[in-house]
Amino acid sequence: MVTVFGKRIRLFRPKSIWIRKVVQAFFFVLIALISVNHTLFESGQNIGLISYASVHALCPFGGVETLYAYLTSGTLLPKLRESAVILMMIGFLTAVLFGPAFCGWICPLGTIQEWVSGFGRKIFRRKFNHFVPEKLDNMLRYARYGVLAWVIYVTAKSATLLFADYDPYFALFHFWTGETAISALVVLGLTLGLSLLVERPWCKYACPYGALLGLSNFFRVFSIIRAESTCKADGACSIMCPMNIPVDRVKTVRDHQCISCLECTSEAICPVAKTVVFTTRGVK
Amino acid sequence: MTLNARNLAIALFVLMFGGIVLSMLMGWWAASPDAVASNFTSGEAAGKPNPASLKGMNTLKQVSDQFGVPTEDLIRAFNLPADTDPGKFKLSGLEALNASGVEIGPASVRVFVALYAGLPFDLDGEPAYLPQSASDILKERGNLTPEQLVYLEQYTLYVGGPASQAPADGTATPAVSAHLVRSSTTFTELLNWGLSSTLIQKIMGKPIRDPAAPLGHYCDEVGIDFQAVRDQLQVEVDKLNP
Repeated sequence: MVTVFGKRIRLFRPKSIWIRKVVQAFFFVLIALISVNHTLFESGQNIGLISYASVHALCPFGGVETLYAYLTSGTLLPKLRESAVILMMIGFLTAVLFGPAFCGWICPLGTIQEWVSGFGRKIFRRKFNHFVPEKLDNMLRYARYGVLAWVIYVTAKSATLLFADYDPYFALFHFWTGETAISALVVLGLTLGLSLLVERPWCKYACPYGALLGLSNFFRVFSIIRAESTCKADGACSIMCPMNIPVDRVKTVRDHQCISCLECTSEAICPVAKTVVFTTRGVK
Repeated sequence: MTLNARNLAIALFVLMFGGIVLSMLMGWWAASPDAVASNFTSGEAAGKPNPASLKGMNTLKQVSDQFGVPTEDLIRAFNLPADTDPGKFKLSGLEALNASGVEIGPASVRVFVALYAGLPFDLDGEPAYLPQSASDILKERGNLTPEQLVYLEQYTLYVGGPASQAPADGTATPAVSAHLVRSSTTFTELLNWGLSSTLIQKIMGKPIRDPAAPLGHYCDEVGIDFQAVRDQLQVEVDKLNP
């Protein structure tokens, strides 16, 4: 709770991982500032102390996109820089250790979806994040692997960043430049609109980088583990999971969509201490 | 070992920014856009600038300084006004000047510079069109390989289309001079005759994948009746080339 103009306002719901919100906001503001500075740089001026790198140079998925070109010709795709490859490797390292924590803690597109979802949750309450029928939802969640395969194929074939024309992340931090394709703006609009109904729709159904990082859930070092002996089976962990993972039905969360947000843990929604924890396998 | 949220946050910051700092110390980190193109790192051209790394933000002067292509040639090649300031005009500005519906932009400059300076360049990648003036300059220099000449034949755009602008050195195919739509006519030729890519795609009803493909071959491939589209295309060509 903070006091603003004499009123007590709750910034985070009780039992939420507040530090995650702070980290998310930090990276969102950082990328937004750098993007604006890049625009200023292109017009011949820029703010000192802040990087003026392009959004492409700061997107770890750019590293994935350029991998084929880099391995076959030793060059990066136009508009990309070495930083994208380094960020990709850092993203992979964090994923091996902590799963797709990049998605849950750092990705600005995930952050803005969560912010919009905050309104959706207030409007639709319990219905929020449960609009899509379970069977359809389960099928749609594999669509992002199709998107990943398509992006890698068309990028390798064309040797250009074709995905930028559909990329909501690029649109989010480029919409003011006039360089953004209408299709990317439409995808961004749809993503944000759907975020009123579904938590992280882009991450769940379409994000190619999330698809890649999501595979780390099968072998990550730190996992979310539920102690069956102390679990009250109240289902709170499953209800709170933004990715609709049935945490209360598994011992170790190995779902390919887990984003390591820790909202299901005993540190957040689980009412029993040390019952849902983020830990290395086999350690109690 | 168990991690709480605070420690996870710290670990992510350390990995993210530690990784960046480490890569900076190793000299690997490069995020800000370069004002100049990067160099080839291997092969015969090692150490020379790589035309493939030219960007839309590069100015004509930067291209000239780095690749040794006189700014006058760049201005003439891309039909820019004679009073164009090479220090201010960016390659991305070419896109706005092109009214034919076919993109002539930084990709075209990359090809032009590579062929002009005799530097390695993958012509099998995404094709880029060159204006006739650019092709003429390259041919005048006389240092092109047969493959590069074939490329120019396929991807030279005679802006405006009319026959008066077709090559005068006899390199044009019979279809160009006769303006007859045949199964061997390519999409590039249709564009050179003045048809817009939008109109061609509207008549074909399908996207054009390879502008150098002959119409007959394309129609067979995508299952279109060539005779039907041929007549429509011929009507449009005749309107522009009476």
